[in-house]
Amino acid sequence: MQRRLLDVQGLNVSFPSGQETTVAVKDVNLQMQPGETLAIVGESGSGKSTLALSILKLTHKPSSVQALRMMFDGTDLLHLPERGMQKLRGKDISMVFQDPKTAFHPMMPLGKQLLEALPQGRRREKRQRALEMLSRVGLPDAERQMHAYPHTLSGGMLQRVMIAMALLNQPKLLIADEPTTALDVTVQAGIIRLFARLKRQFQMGMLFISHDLGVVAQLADNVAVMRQGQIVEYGSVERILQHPVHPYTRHLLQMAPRLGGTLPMIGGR
Amino acid sequence: MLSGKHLEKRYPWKRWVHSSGAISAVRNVSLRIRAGETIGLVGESGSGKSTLGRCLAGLEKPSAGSVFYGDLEIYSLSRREARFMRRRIQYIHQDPVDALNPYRTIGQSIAEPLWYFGVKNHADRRAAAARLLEMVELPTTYLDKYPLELSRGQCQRVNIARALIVEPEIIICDEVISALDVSTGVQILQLLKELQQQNGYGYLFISHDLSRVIQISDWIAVMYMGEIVEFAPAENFHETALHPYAQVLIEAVPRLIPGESIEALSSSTFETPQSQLTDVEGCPFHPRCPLATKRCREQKPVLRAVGAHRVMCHFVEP
Ligand SMILES: Nc1ncnc2c1ncn2[C@@H]1O[C@H](COP(=O)(O)OP(=O)(O)OP(=O)(O)O)[C@@H](O)[C@H]1O
Ligand SMILES: Nc1ncnc2c1ncn2[C@@H]1O[C@H](COP(=O)(O)OP(=O)(O)O)[C@@H](O)[C@H]1O
Ligand code: SF4
Ligand SMILES: [Mg+2]
Ligand SMILES: [Mg+2]
Repeated sequence: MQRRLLDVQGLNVSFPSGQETTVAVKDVNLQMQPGETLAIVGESGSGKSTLALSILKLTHKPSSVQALRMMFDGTDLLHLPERGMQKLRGKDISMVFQDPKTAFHPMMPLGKQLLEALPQGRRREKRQRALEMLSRVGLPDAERQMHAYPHTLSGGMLQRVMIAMALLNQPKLLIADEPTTALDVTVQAGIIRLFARLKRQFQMGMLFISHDLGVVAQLADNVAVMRQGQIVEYGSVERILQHPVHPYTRHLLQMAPRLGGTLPMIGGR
Repeated sequence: MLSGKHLEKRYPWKRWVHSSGAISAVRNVSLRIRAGETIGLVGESGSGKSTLGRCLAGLEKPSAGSVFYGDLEIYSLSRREARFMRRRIQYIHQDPVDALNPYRTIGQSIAEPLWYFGVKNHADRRAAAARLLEMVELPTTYLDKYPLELSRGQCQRVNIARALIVEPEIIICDEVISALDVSTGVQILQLLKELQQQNGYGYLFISHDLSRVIQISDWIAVMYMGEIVEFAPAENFHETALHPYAQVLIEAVPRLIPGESIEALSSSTFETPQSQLTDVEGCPFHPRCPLATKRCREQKPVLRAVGAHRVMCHFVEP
């Protein structure tokens, strides 16, 4: 059998604050094969981002992350010290966030930030590699954009630069947290096409977080539906979208915007 | 009835000492909102939807053109008339939490407009706020709560209550469900629809969520770079849209069917929009239009009737 890319079992994440403790992720199990795209869907607050961050051990403190098993490509993340995690982050596992502005230093040209994301190598080679990646993600005028500051790019363009940065080291796993939520549908369509292409080209695994089932339908192989920290249904994208079993999955599908038809009904109206 | 005629809005823009100019956020737009009707306004970010909404709401004086409420031009009113007009046209913002003052109770926030319109008695205002809370289906115990104690969906209901308390006729809803979860958004839309049936409000519903807008509107207006490029009945608009940009918007909506891939779409159309700082010769959409010809680059199309639609394109046939 092929080695699993990601194998998470019994993951629990909680945030203690004063008397109360928020349990954000409860008893989550996930398995991904190399090259697979797994989508996590759910409404806001369901624990999607916390789940993603806990794999990178980047949950905001104070938090408690516990698991029975957390293996990434043969490495035991549970017992990996912080130095080891730092070597993985941005290299074997990269992350793309919803708001690209938070990922860049506002006062540094984009090119410089891209080069810093690359480990050793000659400056010229690194530059070449960054430029190549920028054009791969479909950024026009890559050469010029290397000198640009983040705020001069539109949301969609900056999102592409962030994706390029995440892909520079050809990660085995890309975690994308709502990467298209803030974008126009047209720009979103461009990014979906890009992901679909890159996934094939690089044989890259992708943990794709979204609340938009339409986007998920276009990209995912498997889908995990999350609610209040728990995965309530897990299956292939065809099965989940066409034969959902859990009432909550059905509810999400019924509510999802679709072209044509009328507004869905809630609560016996 | 509220109607904007030949509205223009330009914002001065300055970058270096020697280069400055103006952004035309709205260009020669005419639009009429009738009581009891919903117009859905769609278009990409920066196309001018909010600017047009603010001009129509009396919140921002257009650089040219006029806005009529009945036969009153709303930017040339006496103070008394202006006060009356302000009650009749309300504007609801995108961010439900930001729109509320965190230091005021829900009851105070909802009743505040009444004070401005002359209801000085505290008990009367509180009673009115309680009635409105019921209208938006929140318990009256919320009168004494603060915004931070409420969820986003509940805050949006409070914003709606605050807009409705002055008994408006026209309500401009700017991305009112964008910040909400899908099912919360559906509930808010149901509420808005029911209130419309009861009270005959006219809505301008601004959103970039085309599939939702088609479901709740009577008419669809598609905006591109400050202009309305298509105006059409909402029913089956996803099948009847005529303008190439409107068709691109529809194609770009990801379908719920696995494998029906967006990859098949033509690519140049999905790049980022062109700059608004330079005027485009000819049709504003030509740099991205899959059908553009020489004529499109040279001659600007005008909005013309094609069947029940009005379309700004040289080549659209009924
Ligand atoms: N107060 C302002 N000063 C200067 N420019 C402005 C101002 N308000 C809007 N603009 C510009 O006018 C254009 C239209 O903006 P507007 O906010 O109306 O777009 P929109 O369609 O509502 O976009 P979104 O979907 O992002 O809300 C943009 O280029 C914007 O930068
Ligand atoms: N840094 C934090 N401190 C305290 N609670 C948090 C923190 N981050 C997330 N939470 C809580 O964890 C739950 C899941 O949040 P999140 O993972 O952000 O959900 P999603 O990404 O699905 O919207 C929520 O109840 C949220 O309030
Ligand atoms: S006028 Fe030409 S460029 Fe403009 S939308 Fe029509 S076909 Fe496209
Ligand atoms: Mg999140
Ligand atoms: Mg806007």
